[in-house]
Amino acid sequence: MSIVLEVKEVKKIYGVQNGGNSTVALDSISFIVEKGDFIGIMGPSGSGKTTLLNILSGIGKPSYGEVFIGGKNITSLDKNEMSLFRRQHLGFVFQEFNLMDSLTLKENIMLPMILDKKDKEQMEAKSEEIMKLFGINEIAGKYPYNISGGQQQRVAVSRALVNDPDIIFADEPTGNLDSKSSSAVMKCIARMNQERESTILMVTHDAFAASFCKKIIFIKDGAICMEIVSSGVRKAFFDQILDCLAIIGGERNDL
Amino acid sequence: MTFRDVTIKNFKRNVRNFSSYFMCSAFAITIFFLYASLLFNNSVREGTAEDVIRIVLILSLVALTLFSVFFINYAHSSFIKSRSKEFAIFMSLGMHKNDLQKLILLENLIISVSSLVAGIITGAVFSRLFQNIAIDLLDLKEVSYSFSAASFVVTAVVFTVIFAASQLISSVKVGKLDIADLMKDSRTQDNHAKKNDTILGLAGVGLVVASILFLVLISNHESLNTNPFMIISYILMSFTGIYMIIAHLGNTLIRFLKNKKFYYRHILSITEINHKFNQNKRVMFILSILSGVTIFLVASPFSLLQLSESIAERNKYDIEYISVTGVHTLGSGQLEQMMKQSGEPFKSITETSFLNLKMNLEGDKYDVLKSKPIISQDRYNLLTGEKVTVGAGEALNIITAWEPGSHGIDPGAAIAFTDGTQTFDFKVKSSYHGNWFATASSYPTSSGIVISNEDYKDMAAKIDGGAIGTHYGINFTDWKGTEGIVQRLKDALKATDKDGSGQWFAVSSKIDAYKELKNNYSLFVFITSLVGVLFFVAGGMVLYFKQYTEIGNAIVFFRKLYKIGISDREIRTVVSAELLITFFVPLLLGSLFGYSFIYLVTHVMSGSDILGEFMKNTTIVIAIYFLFQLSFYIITKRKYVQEVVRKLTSAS
Ligand SMILES: Nc1ncnc2c1ncn2[C@@H]1O[C@H](COP(=O)(O)OP(=O)(O)OP(=O)(O)O)[C@@H](O)[C@H]1O
Ligand SMILES: [Mg+2]
Repeated sequence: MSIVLEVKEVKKIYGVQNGGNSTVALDSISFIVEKGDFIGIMGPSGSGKTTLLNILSGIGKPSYGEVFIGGKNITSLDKNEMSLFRRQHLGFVFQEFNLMDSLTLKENIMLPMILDKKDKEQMEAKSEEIMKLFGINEIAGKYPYNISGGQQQRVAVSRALVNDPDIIFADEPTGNLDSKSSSAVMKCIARMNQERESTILMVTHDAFAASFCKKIIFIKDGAICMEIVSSGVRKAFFDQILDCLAIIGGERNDL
Repeated sequence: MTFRDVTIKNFKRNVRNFSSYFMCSAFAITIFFLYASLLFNNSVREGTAEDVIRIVLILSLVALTLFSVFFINYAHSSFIKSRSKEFAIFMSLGMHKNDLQKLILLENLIISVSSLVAGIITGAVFSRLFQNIAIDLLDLKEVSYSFSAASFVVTAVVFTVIFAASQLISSVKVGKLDIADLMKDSRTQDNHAKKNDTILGLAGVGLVVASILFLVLISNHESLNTNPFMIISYILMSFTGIYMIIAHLGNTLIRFLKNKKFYYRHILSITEINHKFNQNKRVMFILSILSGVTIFLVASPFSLLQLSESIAERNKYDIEYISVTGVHTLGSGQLEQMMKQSGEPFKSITETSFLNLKMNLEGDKYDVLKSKPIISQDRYNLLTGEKVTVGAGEALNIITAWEPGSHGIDPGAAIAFTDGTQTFDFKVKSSYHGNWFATASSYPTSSGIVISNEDYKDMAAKIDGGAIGTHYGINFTDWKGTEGIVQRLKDALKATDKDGSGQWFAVSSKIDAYKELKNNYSLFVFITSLVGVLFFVAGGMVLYFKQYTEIGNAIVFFRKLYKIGISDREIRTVVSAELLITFFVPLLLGSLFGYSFIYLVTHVMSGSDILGEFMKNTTIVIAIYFLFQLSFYIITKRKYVQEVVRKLTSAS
């Protein structure tokens, strides 16, 4: 299996430049993600999950350490190279959906390709295919504020997928959704992993959402404290996650 | 902690919003006050007794008031909108709508009173400074600085009404508010290109084209071009058309473009611009009107001043005067002698005789002597190059006064001319502004009469010889040096004047006309250009305020894209395209207004021959305006992009 993402001794300290009280948000984190992985990152509030994800996706820079995606050291890229890299090699799903209100759903899905100046036929074909996969092709012409949160998130998932990214990052994708929509969105994401062999790294608080993953990394106070791997049975994995959360002091979230 | 503490804390957090609302209001008040103090300045009022100037001044005041209404209302509603989330939180925590309204009322009261005071104070300081500088600079001897209570009262009253109205509107709006609506983002308005948008957008274009045709039609009709009803219809038509273009043409274009390659390539710019249009149609509209009025107000006096020379050249001869019984009886040998001795390169003297008869009609204020100069058809055609034909018993009334209307001699009316003993009856064939063989000011009348050759011959034979007048037209190689000789001629003629009736028959000369025009226009030029500059500043202010209030939304917009991966350069492209449109579309539409108004005004002044000059000057003014706007655009773009990029990167 090829390595998609490699995190080497990443450390992030906030508040160094303005002196005074600095926070160590990440403390020497290292791990690797292989192609086809579906990894969940969990941990108590303030443990550094969002910070980690921002660094991995190039939105933030680490204070120390390196991040390789597809063999490329992204910590050495400048801002513009990074934004180009982001839209060509990475996919994103955010808690707050992040859809553009002025574009239709279909246009939103095409957006990464549009930014990349792909030709029209290719964009049409690709978005068509993905929307069918997630059952949203009927609402393609609508605008984001006219559809439900669950539908919006599925559109966001489709968008993350459209440019065949090396890896997809998801930050609390179910954070704004009720349990039914959560389930629909998580099924989409799981399907994306199974059918298209997409590599996914997802941060979540939600044990139910996490139970779709193949592997969970728990972090606490900026460091990895535990890893568990799914046996393939979701119910069992869910219970295992709850136990771990109880140990490290995360919130419990019953089914 | 009481609710009052919460309010105070809130106020502190919202300082940015409050201060921008305050600044805009104060600024609008300053501008208004500057203008009002000028309008109510006693010496300006006396110096602008002329109707046209008064009309322009009053129109500007109305336009400025309208602008203030729109602008303060806009500033007020953006202020309320920017705080909708906060209100939503209050309401969801169980705050009563009445309390919310009270809160808004209190805030508004503070802002309006303080901005009124601040605006009037800055206005007073500036108007003092401004008027003094302007008076010195332009050497307007007749204008002195004065403060009138009226300008304070008018400003205070107008703005109190505007503030009260805005307050009323927002309290009604708040009364109808729903928490759910408030929670929604301000962006989530309907973005759909509605079906009838296509039609409305095209209808707007159609209406504007129609209004232009209508304008051309009424401008070229003397009876229509000063008819207020026609002018108002024109203005309504073109304003509605422009508004429809602003509001709907974007959607129309998107409909046509949709799914084209070009559309996808520029999708962010296109949809964002269209969204901005939908959101800001009122602002764009205000800006179009502001720039149109600015162009008109600056271009027309500028042209007038520049045209003093060519208007003066519309005089038929360099120097001319009329000699009738007992008035200006200088022998023609003597005249020629004098001209030759003037030292100026003298060209020719043209003598034209005409009948100088009393008429039975009243005429108008110009007809002091109730008499008319009358010449025959052939002589008229020869001297003017026109080709009129007049039948027996008919009189053609050629109006020389610049004001519109028939001046008391209506087509079809019966008119009789007499030398005191004999009377001749005619019927007015038609009455229009036209080419006369002499310059209007040389004879005290609003018009001249052309009759058929036979009638003329008949009358000339019958009447008393004293009723035949002579018009002298003198030409030099260059009229600019004739000031001295004009004065000497006047003195010589005055010496021949025994009973004082010579005062009615002025010596008219290009040089005097030129001097007088320059003098008269300078005050007008000063005032209109001042108002033009005020409008220009107001336009800049609206743009600035708009960008300032929108930066928050822009950051939300770009943050989403930033996470997906958009480079600074692409952000710059989108921002540039959007700013380019907001800065220049209103200016383009405004130029259309500017040209149209100028076209109308030149026709009202019955000077189709000055149209070319006016249009040329208008084009120069527009070009300068574009240059100003361009630099303003470049500065704003740079600052705006910097701010957006800075906020985007600092957030992560
Ligand atoms: N911009 C910042 N400046 C300073 N400190 C920060 C900043 N962002 C995060 N932190 C701190 O870094 C630590 C990790 O924050 P982070 O947002 O990564 O946590 P998290 O695991 O995502 O928490 P949650 O589950 O609540 O979202 C926290 O202690 C936080 O206070
Ligand atoms: Mg977080």
